Amino acid sequence: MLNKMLLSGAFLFSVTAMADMPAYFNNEIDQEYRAVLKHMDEMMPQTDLELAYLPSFYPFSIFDIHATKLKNDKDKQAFTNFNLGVLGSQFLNVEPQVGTKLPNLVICKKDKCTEQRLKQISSFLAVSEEQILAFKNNISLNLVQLTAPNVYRINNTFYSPTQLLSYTPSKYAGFVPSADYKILSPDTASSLMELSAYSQKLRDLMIKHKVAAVTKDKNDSVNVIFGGLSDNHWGVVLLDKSNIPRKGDRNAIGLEYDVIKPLSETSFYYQTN
Amino acid sequence: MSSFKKYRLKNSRFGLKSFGLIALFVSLTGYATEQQIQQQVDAFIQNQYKDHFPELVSDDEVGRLKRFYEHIDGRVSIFWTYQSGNVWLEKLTLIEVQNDGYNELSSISFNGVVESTNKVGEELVIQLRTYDENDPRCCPSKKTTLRYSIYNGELIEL
Repeated sequence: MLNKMLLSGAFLFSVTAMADMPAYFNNEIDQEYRAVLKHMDEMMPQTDLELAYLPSFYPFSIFDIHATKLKNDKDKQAFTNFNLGVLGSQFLNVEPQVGTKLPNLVICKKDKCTEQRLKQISSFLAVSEEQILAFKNNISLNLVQLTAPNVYRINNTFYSPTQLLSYTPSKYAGFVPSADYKILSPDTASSLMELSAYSQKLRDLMIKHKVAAVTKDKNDSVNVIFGGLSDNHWGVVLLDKSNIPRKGDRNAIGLEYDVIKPLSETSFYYQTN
Repeated sequence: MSSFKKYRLKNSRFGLKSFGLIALFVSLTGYATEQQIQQQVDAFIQNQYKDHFPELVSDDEVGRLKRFYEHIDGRVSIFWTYQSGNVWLEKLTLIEVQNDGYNELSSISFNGVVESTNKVGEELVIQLRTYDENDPRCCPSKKTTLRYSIYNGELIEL
């Protein structure tokens, strides 16, 4: 599989170099990204099942690599699409024409699905105030992502019942996950397990209400992401110091708001695209 | 390379792989509560029952569950049979399980008998016996395989 990946990776890079290789993909970032691809290939077991790894592409899950050090929001967003294309072609086992339609899974433009989403958001907000506040007030917590009750991510560490994978952002692009990681045991990583214990109640609510991830930005706004793939996210933002954005503005991770629906003076439903 | 280093390398690769194995297992099995899904599937089947009108010549309509599959996004595809009098139809319905019930997203009917169903990854694979030119109503004979995926809340034939 690695050979296949390197071969297609080489093809991909040669194509993008000739055609429209993004400006941010300089040699250093290229090397960093190749190292991440190698790491993913070593870590994830091979399967021929179609879409088996799709949940690993959900927001802030293991294949949803973020280039945290890129300065330009457009570059950040472009990278999320690029990454879905590269890793998706390796791990999702679907025809390219199917792969390109995958974001449709999480795009909603109709009233009916919007109503369903607002209902889901409303039921979460009705019971989560205390836990959202606890998340917001803990300066050590910036991100909680949920794959399953015992498989989740806090900040840059991925937790499972038997081990923790803790990532350091790559030097140039700030990739997380990156190829720079430590494997830790839950028995020995006490400070990380404290964060786990602290966020347990929030994660319980996330399970119940099918929340994919909760993040916090520099303005202390909390982004509750219910679903998403690549640069298509949807959820609710709970503002602290900032104002409700407009369509076309970008969120803290560089994604462009395509739909904004204020829910109150300090919260809004959104969809990025 | 010393045997100790080899052992450490092998051990660390296994450790790395174990996270991937767990991620794959979770992807394939999901984590939504089985009981909640079963309840909503039962509710869906029960809701297919429609009593006949006593004054009219009409039979009750009932649904019979054949099998259901949960998808990674929490949606559930239900294979069931619609029956009313001597009419029956094999159907596949996609529902979304919510906290307080379910929402029916889409539904299709098959022209024939569903012999087997399977979920491969997120794809539904259906072995169907459908009607050849001279087949009587009772006995479709032409074997065919259908494959469906879910996009945007719809069942899409591949």
